[in-house]
Formats: sequence, structure tokens, C-alpha cells
Amino acid sequence: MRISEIKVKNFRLLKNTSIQLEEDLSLILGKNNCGKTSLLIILDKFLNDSPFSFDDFNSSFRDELKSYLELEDSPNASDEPFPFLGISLKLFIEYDESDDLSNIGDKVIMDLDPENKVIVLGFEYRLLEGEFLNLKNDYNAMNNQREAESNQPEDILSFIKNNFRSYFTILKKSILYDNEIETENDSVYTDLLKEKINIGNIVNFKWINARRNVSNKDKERSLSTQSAKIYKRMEDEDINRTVIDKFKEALTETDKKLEGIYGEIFNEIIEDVRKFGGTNQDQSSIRITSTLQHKELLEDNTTVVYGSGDSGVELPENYNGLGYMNLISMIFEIKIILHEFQKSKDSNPADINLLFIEEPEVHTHPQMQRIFIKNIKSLLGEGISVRNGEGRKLQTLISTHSAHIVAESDFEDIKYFRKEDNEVNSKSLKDLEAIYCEQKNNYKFLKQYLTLHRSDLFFADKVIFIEGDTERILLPAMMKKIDFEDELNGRATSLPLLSQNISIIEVGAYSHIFEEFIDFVGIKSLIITDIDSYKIVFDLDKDDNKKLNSDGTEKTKEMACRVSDGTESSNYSLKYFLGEDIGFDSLTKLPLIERTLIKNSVENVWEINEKGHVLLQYQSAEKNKENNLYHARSFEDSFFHINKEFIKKHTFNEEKVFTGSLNFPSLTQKKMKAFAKDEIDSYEMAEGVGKKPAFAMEILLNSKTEEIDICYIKTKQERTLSHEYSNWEIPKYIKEGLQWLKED
Amino acid sequence: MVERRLGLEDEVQQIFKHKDNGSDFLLSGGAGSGKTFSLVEIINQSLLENPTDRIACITYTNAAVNEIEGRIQHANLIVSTIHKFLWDNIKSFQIELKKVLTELINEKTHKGLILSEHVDSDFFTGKTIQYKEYVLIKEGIISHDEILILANIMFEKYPKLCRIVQDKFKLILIDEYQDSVTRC
Repeated sequence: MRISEIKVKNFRLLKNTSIQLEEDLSLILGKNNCGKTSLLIILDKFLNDSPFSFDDFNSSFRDELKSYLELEDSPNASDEPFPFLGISLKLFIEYDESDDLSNIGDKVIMDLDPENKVIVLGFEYRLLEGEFLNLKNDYNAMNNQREAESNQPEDILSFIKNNFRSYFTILKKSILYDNEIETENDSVYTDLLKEKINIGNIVNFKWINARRNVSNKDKERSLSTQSAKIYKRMEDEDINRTVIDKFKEALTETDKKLEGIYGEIFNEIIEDVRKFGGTNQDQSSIRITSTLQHKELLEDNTTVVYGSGDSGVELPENYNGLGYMNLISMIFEIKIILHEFQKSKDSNPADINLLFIEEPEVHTHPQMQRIFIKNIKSLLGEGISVRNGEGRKLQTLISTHSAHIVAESDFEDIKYFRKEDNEVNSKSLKDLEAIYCEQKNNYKFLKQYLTLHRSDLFFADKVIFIEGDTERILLPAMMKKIDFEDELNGRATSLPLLSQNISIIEVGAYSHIFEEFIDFVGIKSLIITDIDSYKIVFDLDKDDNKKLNSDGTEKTKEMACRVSDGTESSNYSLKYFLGEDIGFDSLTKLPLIERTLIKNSVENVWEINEKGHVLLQYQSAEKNKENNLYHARSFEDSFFHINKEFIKKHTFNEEKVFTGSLNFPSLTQKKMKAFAKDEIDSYEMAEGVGKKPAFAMEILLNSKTEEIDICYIKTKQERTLSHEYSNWEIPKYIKEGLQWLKED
Repeated sequence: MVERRLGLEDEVQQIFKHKDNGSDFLLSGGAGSGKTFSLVEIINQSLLENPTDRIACITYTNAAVNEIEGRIQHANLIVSTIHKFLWDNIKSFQIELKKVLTELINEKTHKGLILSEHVDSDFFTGKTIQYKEYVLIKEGIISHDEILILANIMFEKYPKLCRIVQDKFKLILIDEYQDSVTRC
């Protein structure tokens, strides 16, 4: 038996959210404040009966409630049912042939259709019609009285805030699952509270908090306390009988030994007492006996020590790093919880044992996070033994911010929480597979790439897809430059690019492989790519004769060329995003707005939309300082075009001595010299780049920092700003893209 | 476990052998021969061995229910009359109950389940089938005799129901078996 889906309504950020759960482990990912903890809390509130607070109501639900209460009439038309006002949680539980139906067979299963293998447990904290009217009347009555006493009327929401507990009711139901339409039918249900069904027998929920009870403080010794706790449970539940008996036996023996020693220690005082006792010596003799209590013994007198087995050196637990203690503590806690799931010998474990571990990465360094997630499955896989020997699996939810944990986990386990317009949606990455169904290879690639290399993508706010190393090396510098220029010009409206959570990913010309993923996570994405123009030329042999096809026609081939000579682009992703039929000419002239895209999921195409979250950037026609308008083909081409001066200065020094090979060893000397003398253009210069990453490094090495003193007019404050990378310019298409990305 | 059974009567020991093998048993004897005493002993021993297993003990009259409950009480022991036992096990499956009941009415072969008109499948929509001391078919109210007929068909028709009852009760004991059988 397992929970296959959780639906939540009106709880905090979870306005209308559904989460698909995996059979054993589901990994919940998402940025901060996107409802991960809310999921934990609502499960705890309903399954472990913790009280609700006013802040638990979703904010738009509060407004809805308010508007209903301010209506003159009843919120429903006469023939419609009263609307649902409150928080709801639904657990969809799947069972199969092998499951024991003794618990859910008791009034929880609602029909006998052999095909229907789903039950729905519904939990509600809601305002019923009668109580709605009471609340309305009480509120009005109170305000009338206030008015009579000439006091300010109280706001309806603050009235609810102070009194909602008297009007809201908890309901627990089993709701009929309609197998045909594969959804629940809210109108047919059994009231489980009325039928006195103990839901704890069906679902047992426990969780481990992110703020765990670990600290290095000497006196707390939390691990030792935990070991005592484990012992207590083991003793209560009759587990490991033989070891426990051994323990008790050892204690009895120790008691005996101690008694002899105590006799010696307290001999004198015993003698004194005897003297006062009178003549009959046997009558008033006292003894000091040892009574070791096995339960307390562990709590105060054990220390969990940490040491390598070989060296023999042992350190008490508070000598360990916080991270290691956290890891050990978590394992201890999981063990305790496993025992708790087991319940006592007089009751069976619940059908479903749900464990929620919140952010296990807290206090642990990356390496340990990997170890944790690698081992957690096997630790939990042991499950809970039911009486007749079979194990019952645990269903586990782990919420995390850690890219390292994601890197070690199974892609299919991942649930991604995404906040849109103040509502949280959850998506299973498994679903991506279905979306990618036609291109299985793309999916496989993406899966490996994301889990092994770039799991940080799940936590990024924005992402830049780039062609390769050159951009990767130079982008941080370019971002810094833009941040600086914006500050200098007082345009710093949004957070500096370098302070934003931006992931940079090299994809070559394969950004289209990521398109479903980009759409899936919905984050603002900048794709920086190359226009890759080419022309069709005759294929020539060594002697410059035209090669012929077998049918006698002349052979042609594609040849990379200047954009001005080009007829096509060989960059597949441009066509993928902008449409198959876009002509090369219009490609070169497309304005930014027509490269801002959003996915139309109905027709499965990318569409132009000014609010789109994806921008496609490639080289465009740009004027340089010499006032030449030129459309470059590649990054290098456009860099040379607008930074002629920069290259010239590094080719010949002031004494006209060639220093090019010193400054830019990656560029061919001949081309450099020719370029500096204006004999070749930037296109030809770009052909002289040897190793592209080396060239990018050399740009950084030859960069200069300029100090600029500025004075704020308003405050008359003077400041010196250092303008890094001041001696070269950013190609327009990249600059434009970064500026677009910077805005929120 | 087995050693603890040593103090038990001989026939109870035999019964536990059957129970261990997963086979059924029939215990018969004349009036006053101690059948009910054995029954209580079986229940006691079973609960001792497996306190988490639920046991159903079905009797024919309410008087017998009181008698057994007077001797032994446990959270996992359900003592009830055959009618109440059957009803408790089928009553939450209203969808199927309505279906079977509608079919029975249209068959017109069971007295007590006859209505003058033909009924449609939505006849009981919005109503709840209930078990009371009297019969009012139109409102979905049925009584003792109808429960037996209805339950019989329900168990025949829906294997899932059998599975549920099997899972729910590891042991079902029927007191005064002959009385329950002849009436069905």
C-alpha cells in the first residue's frame, strides 16, 4: 500500500497543489519559500492532530472568505451546495493484491469494484454552513454593540483571526474514488470520525526537522540522550530480547560487585550506626546496596564517542564537527522513528509509514551530503518488520536545497516545487520523460547531465545557456562590467547580476535539448548562441575543378562565411525556437522583442511574447568605434570587430615593437599583425584564434582596471569606483541579453 | 507458544492444530457438554498468542452475545449476531448494496423484497440502505431476513468483499452453527 498522490488546498502557499509520490523515496526540490515545509506541516497537522493557526489559511482564501462574509445573501444559490471554505488535504492511497486490507477494509474502502484500487482519505478544516452563519451573526452582533458603545468596528479578518477556532471544524473522511474518471467524488464519502476509524492504523506520519537537536555544547550530549531513547523503545517493545537480558544480567553482577565495594567504603559509618543500635548486633545493621537502573544508566552515563578503530583514540561526541554530529544524529533519529513505526507488540505497524526528512543537508558539507543520500535508501529500505516476518516499506519524503543531494539521487524521484503568481505547483521530473517521449536520447542526456553535472539548475533563479568555454570564462567579467556601468549611470534598479542566483550552462548549439526543461521549470533563461552563417559553394577538388555527382550534376557543399555572404544558418536551435520557416535574412534583422519567447504547450511551439521567459541572443549588426556597421558570425568575430583598438594596442607597443605573441599567444602572429594594420577584417582575424579558451583567458589577463571618482549630487558623497575590464567592450548581443536577464 | 497450550483441554488442543494448519473445524456436542466454555478458551488462547489479530465470534441470538461478552472482553474480539456481523461487513458498500437490492426487487422472487413497480438503477439514489427492525423497501430500509439474502449475494458477487473479511478476521468462530445455516 502506498500514497500515490497528495492534494492540498488553501494551506499557506499551497493554494491548490498536488504532489505525486514515489513508492519509496520522493525528493522535493525547490527554491526557498516555495512550500516545501508547508507540505510537512499540513501532514503533521492533520495526521498528528496539531492545531491550526490563522496564518495557515492561504492569503487568497482569506480574501475569499472575507468577500463571502460581506455578502448580503448566502454565498450559494439555493440549489447549489454550500461552497468549501477551509483547508483540505487528500491522500490518494493505492493498494494491490498483496496488501492486507484489514484496516482499510473497515469502512474505508467505499466500493467493491475489483478494478478500483485507490482509496482517498480526506482531511478538512472547514467552515460548515451553520457555523458560517453563526460567525456572520456573531460578528455583526459584536460590531453593533461596538457601535452602540461608539467604538471602532473590528475588521472582519481580525475577528476571524481571534475566533476562528470556535467556528472551524475538523473532518476526516474516506472519499469515493471514481475509477472511470480517475478522480475523487467529493459528494460520496464516509465520515471516519463518526465511524470511530483510527486513521493512525492506516497512515503513520513522522518527520525529522531541519532544526535538529544537535549542538556541540558539552552538557546537552544529545546523541547520548538519543541512544538512551533507542534503548527505552527496544525494551518497551520486546525487541532484541537476548541483548537486553545480557545487559540486565551484567548490571546485576555489577550491583553485586559494587555492594562489596560500598561495604568497604562505608564501613566506618556502618560501624558507627551499629554502635548506636544497641547490644544486639544483628538487629540494626545497615547495608549500602547498589541499584543500577538500566534505563537511566544510558541517559546520563554513556557517551557516544567517535574515533577511528585502528588508532584507539576516541573522542567524545562534542569533539566532532557539527556536520558529522548532524549526520550521526539523523541516523539515530531515523532509527528511533523506525522503532516508533514498529509500534508495541500489541499493535501492528500502520499500513503506510510516511517519513518526512526536512533538509538533511543542514550543517553538513557537500561530501557528507552525497554520502547521506547514497545510504539513506538502504537504511530506509530495511523497512519495518510486521509480525509474520514480512517487511513493510517506508515511504519517505526528503526536502532539500542541496545540489549535491540531487546529484546523487535518482532523477525519477525528483518532485520540483515551483512558485507562480503566489501559487505553488509541483511537478514530477518523471513527467519530463513523457514530454520527451519522441526524443528518448535527449531525455537520457538531460537526465544524466542534470543529475551529474548541473543539479544547481533546480535551485537557480535564472539561467544562461551558452555555446562554450569562451563565453563561460568571460561571462562573469561581462556581468561585472554591466553591474558597474549600471551603478555608474544610476540604473541599478534590480539586484546586481553577480548577486543574483544565475546558473551558466554550456550547451554548444544544443540549447533546444533543454527546451522542455526550460519550460518545465519556468525560469528566466537567456540563450546565447551563434548565428553560424554559411553559403552553398561548388565542391572543388585539388585542382580547383568542380566535383560531379554520379548523375552528372555539380557537387555542392556548405561553407561557413561572413553573415553578409550567408544564405542559411547551420544553428539548429535558432530554427527550433524561432520556427522552421524563418528566412536567413529576417534572422539577421530580428529585433529583441521577436526573440522573447514563451512555450505554447497546446501547439507545442515557442511563441513570441513580450513577457516570455526565454530570450534567444545571437550576433547582430553592430557599429564599432570606427563607425563601421558589421554583422559578426561568431563571438570572436564580434569581439574583434568592436575591440579593434584593444587588439591593436596589444599587438604593437608604444615603441611599435611587436608584443602580440606575448600578450595573445593563442592568436596567430601573421593575422594579428595584419589585423592591426587594417589589412584583414575581424572575420579573418577570428580564423586566427588557436585555442578559444586560451584566448578568453588572455582577454582577462590583458584587462585593465580604471579608478573613477564620482560624487553623488544629492548627498555630496565622494566615492572611488574601480572599473574593472575597462579596456574592452562587450558585444552587443551579449550585453543586450544580460541586461534583459538582469531585470526581474 | 505451543507450550503455553499444554494446560488446555484436549479438544481445544486439537482445534489449535487445525488453526495452525489453516484448516476449518467443527466442534459438536450435546447440550451442557461445555462447547461455549471451549469457545471462550479458544478465544483466550488466540488473543494471548496473537494479540493484534482480530477475532469474530458469531452467535445466533443477542442473549448468546451477552453471555460470551460476559466471559471475555478484548478490543480485538467482536462478538455479534450473524445479522449484525453480516451487516457490519457490507453496510459501507452502499453502491453495490443498491445495485444488488435493485436487481433483487426486479427478480420478484423474494417475499419481503417485492414492490409493485419495476425499479430503475437510480431508484435508491440519495437514499441510504439501512438495517432496522422493520422493512420499508421504498426507503431502502431492510430487516433481518433481507440481510441474509443480500449478504449472500454480495459475498458471491464481489470477491473483494471476501478478501476484506478474510484480512480483517484471522479467526471466525460461529456459535450454534446449525441455527444460522438452516435459515440461509
